[in-house]
Amino acid sequence: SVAAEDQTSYMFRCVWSAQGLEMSVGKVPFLEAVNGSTVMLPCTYASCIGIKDLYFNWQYNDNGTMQKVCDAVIPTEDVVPDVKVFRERVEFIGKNHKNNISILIWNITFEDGGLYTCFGRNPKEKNKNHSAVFHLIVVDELRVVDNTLTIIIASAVGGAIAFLMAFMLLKNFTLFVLAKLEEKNKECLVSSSGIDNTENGLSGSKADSKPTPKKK
Amino acid sequence: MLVLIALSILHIAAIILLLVATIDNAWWVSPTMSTDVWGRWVLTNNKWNLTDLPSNYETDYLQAVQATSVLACIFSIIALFVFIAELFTLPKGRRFTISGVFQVLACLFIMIAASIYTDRFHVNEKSLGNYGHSFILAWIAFGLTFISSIVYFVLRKK
Repeated sequence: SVAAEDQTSYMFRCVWSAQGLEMSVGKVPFLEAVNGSTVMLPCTYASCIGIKDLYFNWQYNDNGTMQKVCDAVIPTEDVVPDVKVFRERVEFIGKNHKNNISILIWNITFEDGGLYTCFGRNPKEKNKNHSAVFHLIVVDELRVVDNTLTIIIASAVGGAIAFLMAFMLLKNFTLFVLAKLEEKNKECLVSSSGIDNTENGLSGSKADSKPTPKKK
Repeated sequence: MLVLIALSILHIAAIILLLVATIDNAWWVSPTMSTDVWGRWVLTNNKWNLTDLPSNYETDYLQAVQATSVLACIFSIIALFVFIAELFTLPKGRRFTISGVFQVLACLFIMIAASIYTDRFHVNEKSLGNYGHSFILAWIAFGLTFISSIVYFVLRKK
């Protein structure tokens, strides 16, 4: 039967890889936003066996009580769910694209800040559920990022290495040029005196050449 | 051989002192506070909490101390790697000039950091605290890097 197949498939595929249904609010589970701006609370789901009638909701932690922000049931992975929204200024923008169930909050106020939980329950995996928490922080103004320290350090290290390389190149180049000039001067001296180290020197100017002993 | 080992130990000791001086927030200490160059540890209710540095610190001088102490660490570590490379690639009779150059740059930078700090911070607070171990280690590291750079400039490879 189909149920038995799902069970064994679940055992083989899910047990060794993931823990079943996983909800994720992204790599950075918090966001600092300015009062009055519009923010997106990201959430994606992943299941190693696939979903069927996945129930998900977003909840806002209001001093201990969890208020439902929105919820819906997703029949399959490529269907846009019909989401019921219970909170003002909230819009569902996930549209189930690539398992995306993010929401958008327009014109946030300071009361919107806090912990939002993205919860999901998959009946196909014996109602395994999972949730992820996203922290929304509403600030008056964004901190100005000061990069002067990074710029100073990076430019000092880069400048030192570049200076050293330029200096070594220049030194080697100058030595090379000087050596070439020396060679030219030597050539001039040798050709003008007529004595070079070949057999065509002036007669009687060389010492007797010893016969080279041959090695056996 | 012995000279090489002693030189490496001296260099590594200088690097360690530089790292401790830069990373540990203990340039100026008092019984309830340990501060600079990155943050301030304050003892409240028998618990140490890390707080931001007071805003009356002149940001230019603070950033100069931070940048130069970090640069001293970086150059000293580069000098160690360059020294090891030069050990194997330098022809006989040549001097370890490049390692010496990097080490003398590290010496210069930590001297700048410690001097700016001595001159500009805590000048009127002599009764409220005293210089902490990071500050002392910074000056000792200046001495060690200076000695080791002189040795690099004088030593010839056998």
